[in-house]
Amino acid sequence: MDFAPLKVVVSGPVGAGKSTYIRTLSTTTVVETDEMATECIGKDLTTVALDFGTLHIDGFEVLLFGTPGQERFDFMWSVLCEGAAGLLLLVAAHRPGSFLKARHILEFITSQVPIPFLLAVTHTDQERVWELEEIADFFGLPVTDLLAVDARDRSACARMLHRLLERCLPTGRDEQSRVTA
Amino acid sequence: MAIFGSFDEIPPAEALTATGAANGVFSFRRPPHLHELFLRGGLVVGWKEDGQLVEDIMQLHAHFAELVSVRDGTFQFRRAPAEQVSGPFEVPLRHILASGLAHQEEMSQSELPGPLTVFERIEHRDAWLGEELQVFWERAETRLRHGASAASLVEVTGASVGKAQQYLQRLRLVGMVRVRRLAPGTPARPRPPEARASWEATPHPEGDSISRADLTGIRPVVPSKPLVRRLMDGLARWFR
Repeated sequence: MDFAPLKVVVSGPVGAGKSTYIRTLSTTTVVETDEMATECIGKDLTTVALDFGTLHIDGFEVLLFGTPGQERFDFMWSVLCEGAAGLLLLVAAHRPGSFLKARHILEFITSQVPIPFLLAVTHTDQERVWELEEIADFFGLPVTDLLAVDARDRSACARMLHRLLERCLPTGRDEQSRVTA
Repeated sequence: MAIFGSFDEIPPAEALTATGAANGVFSFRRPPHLHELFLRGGLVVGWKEDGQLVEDIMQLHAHFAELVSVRDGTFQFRRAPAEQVSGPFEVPLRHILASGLAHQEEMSQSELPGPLTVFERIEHRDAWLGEELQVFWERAETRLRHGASAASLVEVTGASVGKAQQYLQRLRLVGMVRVRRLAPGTPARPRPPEARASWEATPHPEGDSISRADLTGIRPVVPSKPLVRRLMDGLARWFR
């Protein structure tokens, strides 16, 4: 059976760990478009176009597309979500200042496009963080839509993707529409 | 458990609604003053300013009217057992927020949902909205039963897109509406032509990035079950 690669979008505000997540999971060299940050965003380098990584599993491919976190690049969402099977939205638990922006992204995309998603909560090892339940309340989501992840830990990143893929499993109705089409 | 932040990043009404129906003390510091709100099961039961308890209900409302417009200072919410959270009042947080929001100046664009983000009304909810918001609500309610965005409400409400965004955000904060997400497997939402026309006719400030995102043509892919299953089996080996 011949399968097309599966595309997953990794989005979120600046500094949430999107590039790290893709680097950790990718089995090929990651294409990065990092530049020196021209404003104070808590790190020296930041993604200005997209990150792209490929995950090869048993002869199948998952394409990981990371969106830039800075607001002026939000027009990229439309390009990157085209044909995606799922969306991972990363937020940093110790940076509540980015929650409002992340919620805007998630609400906009999910009210327009029926895309399976998970909220990946990073930096939960920091000293002062919002708990998962609190972040879920802020986003108006059940806590089952959230998962803590260390973006540097390959097994944790794989577990997160596994959870997203569970949500990508077609329902009976989807299968029927594929057959009809 | 901790909810914390600064009001320039999370406005007071957002921060307070994030506490849900939890019991505890919401404190915020605006030097040199320290304010403490005592919350129990979604009720405001007390307010202290620099340790001094507010005892007049009108003063409590005045404090809230001032608080919702504050955009400086830091806050934190400390949970506590219900019996440790006491005070002279029992005012529903959402009601007193609604009262405060009715007097608020306009919110900044960064605090607002996108013009195309779709909301729906929450059934069996009621709140005092103030005259202006009540008029918007009455005109928008029917559309909101089936889901409507700020841009799509321009025609029925007579409000500009920007104003409709403001009203929807206020309705969200007082618990009258929530985002209507599309369930996987359902069709993507076509962009209504009137929404695009209305939005393009409205001047929007630099920085409202959502206006630049054009979702036309986005279609998610429903992958085949065998592919997803095999990928999941492969991934599972990485963390087992």
